[in-house]
Parts: sequence; structure tokens; C-alpha cells
Amino acid sequence: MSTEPVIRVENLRKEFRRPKRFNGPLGGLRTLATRQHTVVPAVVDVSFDISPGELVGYLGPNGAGKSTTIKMLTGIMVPTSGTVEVAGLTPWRDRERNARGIGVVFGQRSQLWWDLPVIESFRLVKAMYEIPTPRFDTNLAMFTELLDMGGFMATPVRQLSLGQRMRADLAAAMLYEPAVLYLDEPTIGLDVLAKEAIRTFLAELNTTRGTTVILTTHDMDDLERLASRLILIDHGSVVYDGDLTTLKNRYAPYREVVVQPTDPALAEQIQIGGTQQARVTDGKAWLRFNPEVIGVAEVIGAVLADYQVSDLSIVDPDLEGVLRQIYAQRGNDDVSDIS
Amino acid sequence: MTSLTPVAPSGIWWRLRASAAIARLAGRSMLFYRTSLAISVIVLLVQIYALSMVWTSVYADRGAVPGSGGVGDISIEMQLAYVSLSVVQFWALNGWSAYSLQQRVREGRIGTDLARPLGLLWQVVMGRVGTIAACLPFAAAVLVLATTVGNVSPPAGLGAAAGYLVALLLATIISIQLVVLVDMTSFWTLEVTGIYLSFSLVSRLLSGSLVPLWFMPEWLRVLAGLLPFQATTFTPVAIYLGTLTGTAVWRALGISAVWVIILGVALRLSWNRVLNRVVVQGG
Repeated sequence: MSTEPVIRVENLRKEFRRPKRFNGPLGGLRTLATRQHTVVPAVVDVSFDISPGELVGYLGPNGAGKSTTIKMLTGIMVPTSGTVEVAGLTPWRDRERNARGIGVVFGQRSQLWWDLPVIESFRLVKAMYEIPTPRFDTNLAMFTELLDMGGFMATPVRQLSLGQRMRADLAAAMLYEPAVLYLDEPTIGLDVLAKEAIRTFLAELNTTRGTTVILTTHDMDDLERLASRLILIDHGSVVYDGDLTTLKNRYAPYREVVVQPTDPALAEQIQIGGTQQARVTDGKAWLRFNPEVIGVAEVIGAVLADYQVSDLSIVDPDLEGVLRQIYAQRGNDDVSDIS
Repeated sequence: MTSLTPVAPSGIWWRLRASAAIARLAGRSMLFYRTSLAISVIVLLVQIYALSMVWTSVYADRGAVPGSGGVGDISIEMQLAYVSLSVVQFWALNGWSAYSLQQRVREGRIGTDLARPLGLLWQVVMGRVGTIAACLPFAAAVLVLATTVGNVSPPAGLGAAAGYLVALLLATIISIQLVVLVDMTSFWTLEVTGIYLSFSLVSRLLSGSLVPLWFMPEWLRVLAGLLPFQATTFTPVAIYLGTLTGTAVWRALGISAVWVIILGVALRLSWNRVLNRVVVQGG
């Protein structure tokens, strides 16, 4: 496999011009009449390279610039400045050709034909992307199996459940085997089973076909389960680019041990040297410590030596907590760069 | 591993096949609304019947009435045939379609539509082609019924038939161009019902589907004759019936062809503006 990046993004910037708003008397009228504009940067300065076969989680809070970046990568939006290269093409300049090499799924929007049986939309994809019949048949059979679509292939899209529709949308985006797949919130609003089916499918494609996947999501389980790399953006700039473990270590260097003493009333009194009591609820104490200062085994040993314990568990920091912490930090010291 | 760079589309055949696939799906979607189509057919028949009554009563006991614009006398038979043909043709070419640009904008589908290897404008046009094609069998059925009650007769001659086919092709192109242009305003207004209603009224009058151009006052006849609307209804039907003959046919076809070019350019220019708005301004 080549090591040349399949996606190259350099100093990408996108500004939107919005008519200036006026407040006060006749503010609405002045807003309508004005020719003055406010320039709002949605993406300030984003650079990254993605190698073939990577499964990248692209995340950030609402309004951070995720969707805008994805739109520029897919070629449906032109950046204000900066360069994007996807498989050697500039997406918005070579839109039709680029379109043949990418799959796009916007979780909230469907590309399927509403009134017609699912299979009809697949046939359109076949014609649109010139998929040879044998390959189309093989892929369709494989996807039907993997995504369990056999039961609703002949059902009009309007009658599908959200989970079924999402699976069909994903299949439609992959039937022509694009090298790159962009997914904007593919699991939004789905139940646990449907989410699992989609994650399994993505993991499978990524391993067996080497499809490069870029995934934006608010679902932390998606990322923990799938992403080999995270790119975190906020206020239009990259704030982190690396793997999950490093992210957790950097932003949440501590671990916690949850101790449930036999006598719940004693929970508050549990103190172990080198740890800090983070909180106490329901007769359990959360002891926080830095694993580089004191080992997990040491903490547990000390707890068991000093107290009567009925239950004990170790908690790793979850991604959600880590992100919450990062966003909160940025919000405090970086307010100035949005205005 | 082969290069990741996607190959360029392989020429005209691919484009035709993909276009046909879109038209086919748009047509099939129309058939999903069978009840609504069936109702339209009934309404069309009622409309033809009512208009026939009106014209019969206007003609009273006169067998023919002089028409303006050098078409000579218009017999009652010719007038009734005109009414049937123009009503049906107008319906088939201007039918509502399930996959209009407006619908795509409203549902937010246009993101994925833009990420297709086929241009979005072309996808929309092909959607119209499919919609019209789905209406054709129904239009033909209505005409057959109208023929059996004696309202419509075969084309005036071989030349008229050939002229009619050419004019009908141009009429179809112009209708699609006009509808897509109106549809495009949805990018600015996000809502086109009001605009569509006004368009529909104007085009119904000026196309000659309410009253043929030969019964319009002179100034309106001249004006309508220069606008694109008449090319969608009046021109083909008048050629079919043989009221337009000789140089008048060539003139009418020439005007239609010029309008195809003008509207094509207008469509391309406004589409570029729309695309610029979506692609640069982010919709």
C-alpha cells in the first residue's frame, strides 16, 4: 500500500459573508437595506494529511466548522483560501471526476428516491458510476448480507425506518467502491442495534477494502470503536490531531478507582495517600490519581488493606469527558478569535 | 494497488445511460402517484368537454369564424380539435414532478446531488424528461377518447405531421427550460408556490392553451407570438391542424428554435449564479 496521503489539506480557510445586522428601532429594515457585511470565518486554518486506509474521526462542537470542511473536501463548496487535494484532484475544480472516487453520506439527508423501492436507487447508482454488472451484483449481495437489507430491498424508501434507511444510504455510497468515504453523523438518531450494524460495516470495509473513512459524529462510541485517529477542531482550527490514547493521556492524565465500602456511611472517610477523593455518591467513593505517580495496583492494595470493601472498579476516562474538558478550556481562554 | 485517482467518465454513452436512468426513476416516481394521475385524466376530459360546449355556443350557427394573423377561417371542427389538443399537450408538458429542484432544495438533498458525477442541472432536466414521459401514455389515452367522440382528427397532411413532431420536440425543450428556470428561483426565495402559480397563469394564457392566438386581439397576438410560451402549445397544434402552412411554419419553428437558444443561455447563466451562491456562500 502506498504511503502517499490520499487527502492533503493545507491552510484551508472558509469565510462566510453575512449581511450586517442592526438592532434598535428600524433595525430590521436597516438590516435588509444594508450593503455592509460581516465576515464570519467558519474554517480558520485547517491542515492535515490522511493516508490511504485511515479511519479518521473528525470532531468538534456544533458550529466548529466540521461540516464546512467536509463540504470543501467533497467539492460542493469552494474555500476562501488554502488547498485541498483528494486522490490527486482538487475537488471543486474537478467535481465530476472527483465525485467518482468518493462516497458521501449525510446522516440527516437521504440520497435515496423517496417513492421508489430501495433497489431502484441502487440501480441508479450503478448507471451513474458505470459499475459493471458482475461487480454490482457481488457488492449488492455482500452489502445485503452485511447490512441485513434483504427484508426491505423492495420496500419504498418512504416506508423504511430510520435505521433501515441509513443502512441503505450507506450501501448506496459504497456500491461503486469509492476510495474515500465521507460520513457526516451516520449514526444520529439510531438505536443500538442499527448503530452496531453500521459500525461493523464500516470496520469491515476499512479493513478488507482499505477504504479511507472520514467520520464526523457526536457519538463517542462510534469513535472509540472505529477511529484510529482523531482530528479535533474548534473555532475553525485544529486543536488536536493524533490517536485516542494520547488524547486521553494529555487531557485526562488521571484514572479513578471507585470503592464501595461494606458500610456505605464510611465512603466519605476513605482516604489513600497519593490519591484525591473526587466525589462521593450512593455510598461509593471516587479516588482520582495519576498513574505515573502511583500505580493502580498500589492504590487498590492500600484500599483493601485499610477498608472493608464490597465492590471496587477502575474507571478509564471516557472520550466524552475528555472532550468536555477541552471545549470548556477553549471556551474560557479563546473567546476573542471568533469575533 | 492501483492509483487512487478516479478515472474520468467514459464519454457520451455513460452520460446517456446515467441520464436515462434518472429519467426512468423520475417517471416511475410519477406512476407512484397513480391516483393523482387518474384524477388529472378525468379533469382533462371534463375540461375538454366544457370548453367544447363553450366554443360550440360561441360559434352558434356559424360554421366558421375568421381568425386573425392570416390563418383564414377557423371552422368549428378545427376550433374543437385545437381545444382538445392544446389542453392535453399543455398538461403533459407542464405537469408537477416529484423531484423538482425546489423539492431537492427543501429536503436538503442537493448536497448529495451536487456530489454526483453528473451535473445537478442536467439531473433536474432529466427528471423533467422522465416526468413528461410518464404523462405521455395518459395524454395519449385522453386524445384517443377525444378522437372517438369526433373532437380530434389526424394531422392535416404528411408535412403537417412532420412539422408537428419537430415543433413538439422544441415545445418540450422550451417547457422544460421554463419550468426549471422558475424552479431555480427557489434558491433565492426558498418557496416557489406563489411564483409558480403566477407563472402558470401567464403561461396558460400566452401559450394559447386557453384561447388560440388567432382569436386574440391583434396587439396580444403579436406579443404572444414573440414570446416563448406559444411555442409550447400554439405552434405545434396549429401546425398539426394545418392552420399554419408554408413559410408561416418555418417562421414559427424559427422563433421556437431561437427561444431554445435564448432560454438555454439564460438557464446556464442563472445556474452559474445559483451554483456560486451554494458553492461559495454555503447556501
